Amino acid sequence: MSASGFQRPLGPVSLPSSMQRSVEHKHAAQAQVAWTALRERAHAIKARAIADLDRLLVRFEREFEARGGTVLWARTAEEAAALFVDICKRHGASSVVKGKSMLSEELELNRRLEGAGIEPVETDMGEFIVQLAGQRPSHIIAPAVHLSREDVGALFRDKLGVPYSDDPARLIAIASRRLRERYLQAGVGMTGANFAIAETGTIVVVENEGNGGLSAAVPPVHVVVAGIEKVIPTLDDLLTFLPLLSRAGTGQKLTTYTHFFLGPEPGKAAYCIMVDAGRTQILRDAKIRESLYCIKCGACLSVCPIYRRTGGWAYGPVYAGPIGAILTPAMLGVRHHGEPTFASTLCGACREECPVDIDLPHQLAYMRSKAVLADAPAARPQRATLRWFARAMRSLGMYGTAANIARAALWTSTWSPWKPEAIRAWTSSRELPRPAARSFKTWWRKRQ
Amino acid sequence: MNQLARAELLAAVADALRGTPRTEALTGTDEELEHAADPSVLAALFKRELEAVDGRAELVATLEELPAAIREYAGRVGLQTFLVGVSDLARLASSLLDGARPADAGIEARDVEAVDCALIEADALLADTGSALVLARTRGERLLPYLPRACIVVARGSALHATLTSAALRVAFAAARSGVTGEAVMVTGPSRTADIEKTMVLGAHGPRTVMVFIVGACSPA
Amino acid sequence: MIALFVPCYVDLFWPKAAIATVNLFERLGVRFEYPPQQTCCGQPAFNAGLWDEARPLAERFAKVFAGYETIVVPSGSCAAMCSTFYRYMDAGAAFADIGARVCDLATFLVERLGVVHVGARFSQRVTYLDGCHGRRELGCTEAAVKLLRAVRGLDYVELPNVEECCGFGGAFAVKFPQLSASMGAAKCSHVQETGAAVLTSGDASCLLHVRGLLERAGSSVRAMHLAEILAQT
Repeated sequence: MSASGFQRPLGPVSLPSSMQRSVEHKHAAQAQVAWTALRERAHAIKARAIADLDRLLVRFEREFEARGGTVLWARTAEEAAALFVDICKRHGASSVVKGKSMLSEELELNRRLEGAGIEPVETDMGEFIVQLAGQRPSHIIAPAVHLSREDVGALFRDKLGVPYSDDPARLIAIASRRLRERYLQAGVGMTGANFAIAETGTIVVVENEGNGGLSAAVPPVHVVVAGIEKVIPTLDDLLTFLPLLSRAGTGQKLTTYTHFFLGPEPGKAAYCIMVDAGRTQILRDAKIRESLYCIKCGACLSVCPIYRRTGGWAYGPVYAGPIGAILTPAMLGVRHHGEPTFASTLCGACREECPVDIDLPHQLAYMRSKAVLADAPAARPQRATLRWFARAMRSLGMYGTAANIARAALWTSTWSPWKPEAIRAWTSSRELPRPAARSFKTWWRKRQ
Repeated sequence: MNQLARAELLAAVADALRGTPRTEALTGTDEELEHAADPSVLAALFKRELEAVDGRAELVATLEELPAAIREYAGRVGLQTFLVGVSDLARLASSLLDGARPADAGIEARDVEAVDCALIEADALLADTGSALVLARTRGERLLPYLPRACIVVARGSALHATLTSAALRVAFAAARSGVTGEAVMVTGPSRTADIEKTMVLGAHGPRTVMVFIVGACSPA
Repeated sequence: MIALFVPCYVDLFWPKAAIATVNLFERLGVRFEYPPQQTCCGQPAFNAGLWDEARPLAERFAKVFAGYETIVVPSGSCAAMCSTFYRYMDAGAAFADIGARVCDLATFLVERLGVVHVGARFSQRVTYLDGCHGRRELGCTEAAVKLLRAVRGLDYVELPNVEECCGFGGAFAVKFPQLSASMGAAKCSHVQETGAAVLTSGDASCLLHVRGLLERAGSSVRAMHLAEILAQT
C-alpha cells in the first residue's frame, strides 16, 4: 500500500484531545447566541451571493475603484503572482509583509515572489514560525500547532541566533521585535480578505494578533489577495458573519481585531487582486458549488476524527480536513488528489459543525464518483470487489451466489494463509464477523 | 491587459452560473436587535467583558475629570510619551499629559513606533464583547491602534451599544457608504496569539495593554 | 401497507436483528410484508463513488418496494441512504422520492406507531452506540434511547463521546484499517468506561466492527442489535 499519511496515522499524540477541548470551547461560545438561526441565515446569504457572483464582482470593483483602489483580475495562480510582482516592481518594493492568507499558499505566492527577487515576510506568528522552519502550515487557523515550545525555542536559537528559551511569552516577544523592523522596511503589505463587500468595496479582515492591521497600515501600498467567492452583498451581512466566524473558528465572541478597510487614505495605494484559480470550475458544478460558501474557519478540521489522527499534511496542498478533501481535487484535479475524499467515514460531524451548513458528506461522496470516472488511483482499492458485489445485487439469484462466495471466503480465511486484501486488513485489528448459519431470507422462506 | 483577464474571469463566472435562478443582488438582511438600556448598565457589562479578554476599563463621571484620570493612569503604569488622535475628546483627554503630541496625518511610522502609548477616541463601544470601534482616516491615525505597545481609548457613555448591530457600527458603515477612505477597526482587547502550543500570549504585534475610559456612564451616586 | 427491508449485511451476518424485528412486529400487531426480491439499497457502491453501479440498485429498490406506504429498515445507515443520498445522487430520478417512505426501526416505532413501551424485559446494563447516519441524517437517537429506557429492568447508561464515529464507514474499514482501528479503539474504551454488559445500536454494521475489536481485546461485552433487545421478553 502507499505510504500516505492516511495509511499511517501520524498526527501528534495530543492532537485528538486538544481538538476536543477546542471544540467544546467553541460550542460554549455558540450556545450564547441563536446559533442555528445564524447558520441558516449565513447559508442563505452565501447562496444568494454565489448565485449572483458575477454581478456582485462587478459592483465590488466599481465601489473599490470609486474610493481610489485598483481591482485586478487573475484567472490562474501564475497570473495572480505576476500581477503581484508587477505591483511590487512599480512601487519599488523589495520586501512584502504578509498577513495570514491560505490563498497565498494556494497560489504559491512566496515561491513566485522570491523567484522575482522580492522577499516575502510572513508576519502571522504561526506562519512566521513555519516559514523559519521551512515547513508548511498544518492547520488553517493554527499553522504551527504541530510544533512544541521546545521545537520553537530550538528553531529560534538556530535560525535567529538568540539564546534558547522555551517560554512562549519570551519567544513571541523575540518574534515581535524582529517583525517590527520588517513592517517598517517593507514596500508592500499584503492581506487576504475574510469578506469583500460588494455594496461599498470594503475589505473585512479578522485576526487576533494585529499583524494583518500592521501589514495593511504601515507600508505605503496595501495589496488584498482574495478568492472571488469572498464577495458578499452588503455591510449588514457582516452582522451575521462576524459572530459566526469567530465563534466557529476560535470560540471567541469576536476576534481582537475586525478591520474594515475602506479604501486608500491620502498617501496610500490599495489593490485588490480577485482570483479565480479553479473556483469557476467549482461554480460550474451544482453538486459542489456549496463548497464555495466556506468561510475558512477550520471548524470541520477540529471535529473530524480523521483529521484529528492524521494532522494537516496528509491532505496535500493547502486545505486540510473535510473541506480540503473537496476543494483540492475540485480545483487541482481528482486524479492526483482523490485520496482524502476516500479517507472518511462520511460521519457528518463536519457538516454539523460547519457554521455555514455546507453539506460536506454528500459532496465528499460526489467527489468519489468523480474519482471513479477519472480512474484515480485513490478509487482503485476494493473497487473490483465492490463493483462485482453491486452487480450481483441486481438479481436474487446472483445475490444468493454472492452470499455463498462471501461465506466461503470468510470460512477459508479462518484457516488458510491466503486471504483477500480486505480480510487481511480487517483482521489486522479485529475478529472476523461470522456469517450466520442461516440467512434471514432462508429463515423467512422456511417460515412460510 | 488586465481587462482581458477581467473579461474572461467574469465570463467564466456568468457561464458557470447559467441556468441558476437569480435573486435580488443587494439587500440588507438584519433587523435591529438593539434594546434600550441604561448606559451605566452597559458600561458595567462592557468593563466585565473587556476584562475577560485582558483589557481594562475605567468609568469617569464627567469630561472635566477625564484629563486627570488619564494622567493618573499614565503615571501609575509608567507611560511617558503619547501620540494623540485627531478627535476633540482625545485632545481633551491628553491635555494634562506632558509627553503628548498630536499624530499628524503624514507622521512617520518609526515615530509612531517609538512612543509608549496611543490615545484615540472610539466612536462606538460594544458592551457584550468589550469592543471599541475606531475610525482612522489618515496614515498617521491608522498606525495608532497598532504600533505603540500601549493603547488608551476614550469614549463617551453615549457611544455604548448593547451588541453588534448596524446601529453600533453606524459610524463605520456610514463612512464606508459615503466613500470615506482609511480604516475602521473594532478592537477587542489587546493583541494576542496562541500559536505556540496554544498558550495565550498578549502583545503579539499590536499593543499589550488596552485601557478604555468611558465618560459619563457612571451610576447615579 | 408496511414493508420490511432487511439490508444485505444483516441478512448475511446479523439475521437475528431482522428476525427480532419480525417477532417484535408480530407482538405489536404490526401487519407487514417482506418483499422477497429485495437485495441491497446500493450504499456500498454509492459510498465508493461507483454511482453507475448504485443507480440500478436504487431503481431496483424503488421497484421492489413500489406501493408500500412505509418501508421499515433495522439500520440507520441504509435508511439514510434511501432518504437523503438517493435524492442527492439524482434529484430527478424516480427513486429520488422514495426517501420519504423509508424509516429506521426506532423512528417507526416511536413516531409512526406512537409506541415507546414495546413490552420488552431485559435486565442488563446497556449502552447505545449511535450510527452516524442515523444520528445526523435521520435524528433517530432520541427515539432509540426512549425505547431502551422503557425496557423493563434495563439499566441504560449513555456512552461518553457518543457523537464520535466508531470508524466503520463501510469499505473505509478495510481501505484505511489503521484509522478505522484507532477510531474503534476509542469507541471501545468508552464502552468499557460505562461498565455495560451489552452494547447495542440501530446499526449492525457498526456493531460488526466494534464487536470485532472487543473480541480481539478479550472483552466480555456482548453486542446486540436494538431489535434483539426490544424483542426480549
